[in-house]
Amino acid sequence: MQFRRFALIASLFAAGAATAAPQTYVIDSVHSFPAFSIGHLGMSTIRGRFDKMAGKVVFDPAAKTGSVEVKIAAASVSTGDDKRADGKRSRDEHLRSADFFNAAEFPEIVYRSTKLNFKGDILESIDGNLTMLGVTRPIRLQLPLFKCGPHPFTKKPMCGADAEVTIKRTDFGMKFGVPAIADEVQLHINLEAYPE
Amino acid sequence: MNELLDHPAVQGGVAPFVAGLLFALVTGRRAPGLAIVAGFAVAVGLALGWQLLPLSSTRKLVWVGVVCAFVVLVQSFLGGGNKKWRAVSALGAAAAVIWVLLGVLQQRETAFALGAGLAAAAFVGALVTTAPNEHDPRAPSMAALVILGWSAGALALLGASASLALLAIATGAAAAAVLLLALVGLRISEDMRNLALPVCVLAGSVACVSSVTGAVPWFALLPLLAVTWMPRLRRIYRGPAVLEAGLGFVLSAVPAGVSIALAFFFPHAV
Repeated sequence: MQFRRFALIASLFAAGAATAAPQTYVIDSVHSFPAFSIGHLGMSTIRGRFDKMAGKVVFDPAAKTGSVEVKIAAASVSTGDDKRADGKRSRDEHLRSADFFNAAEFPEIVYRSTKLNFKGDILESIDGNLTMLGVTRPIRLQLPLFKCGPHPFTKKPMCGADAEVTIKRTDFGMKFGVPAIADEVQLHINLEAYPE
Repeated sequence: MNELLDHPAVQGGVAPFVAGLLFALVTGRRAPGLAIVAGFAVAVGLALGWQLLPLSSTRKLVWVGVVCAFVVLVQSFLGGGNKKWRAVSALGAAAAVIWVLLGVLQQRETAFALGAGLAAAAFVGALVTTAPNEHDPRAPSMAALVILGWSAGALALLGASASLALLAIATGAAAAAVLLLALVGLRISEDMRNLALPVCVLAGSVACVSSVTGAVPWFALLPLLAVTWMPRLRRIYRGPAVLEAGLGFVLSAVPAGVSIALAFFFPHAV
């Protein structure tokens, strides 16, 4: 009887431990993009994105802990102006140059989280460090949307999020064109990830 | 005032010209090369800011400019005719451009990195070695240095980065300031190498960075080596200094034009 009671308690603990174990999710590069918008000449907003992003999310919903590491290919920047028929340098080529993202020298933009901030059960924001052009600065990603659950068609477990932050590009040494091209840049990241 | 200082023509042209003029007035008799470094420094301050870290290739160029200031000072006491000094300058310039490009070359395959590094070192070393010297006519020599700076800037603008272009154009603008003072009769040092060293190193390095990181094909840089040879057509330069300078501009512009045309018509993929 005591042995059965002990076995029951032990199995409950084991089940609890399994529920609390952090899960690693691999970012789905096909459905995850960092996008940005920036004021141009004070006249309009230019929008663009990076086409290549990879990384991992480790998340333990029970313990409310986890981490995010994302690597973005700087050379994949795209604003819809990649090649011009007249042979002149395109905006995307200019963005890849030393004036902006300097992709030849700093091929990756990296974000590593340091802390997940919950409001109740809802993941509200993520604190972390963004490294761009060799400079690392702390930023806080706000999460207007964060959800984990089964994929509606395949029923595979997955997590998805939208994240936002506004940064000053001069904080990272990207000074070209300021103020004609705004210093403040709005980053919007949509991310979907599946268990490893 | 801020709007004016934000304008690229001021950052890369007017301000470096004025800085070059002021420094040449003070140091032109002894170390005219300091006028070039002053123009370069003003462009750095206005366009990039004086953060010296992180060490990107552009920031390393800034450091190279700082070192050039010390080198031209030392050279002003040693004299440009010292053969050992000339060899050391060329080797130092070659090492400097490899250091500038190191971060970029480390991202590439080994064979490309070795080839590009050695080629860049040879190019800048050759520019410094063949730079105008005290035996070459002064006005055409200074005109050639102006064209060298401006053509390196044009290559950077065509294929790489406006920031790099500003830095190279600034060296040409400062050289133009020294030429102007020489033409109005101010006594400028006979040591042409002192003036030429910072232009050759900085403009040459900008051209190399534009090729390795941008769309400028490597063969577009080769005609620039002929720019510093144009003052050696000594028989052509006969007449007042203004005429010599004008002729120097025209002749130096020929290989510079070829270089720019090659970069324009044959860009390589970035």
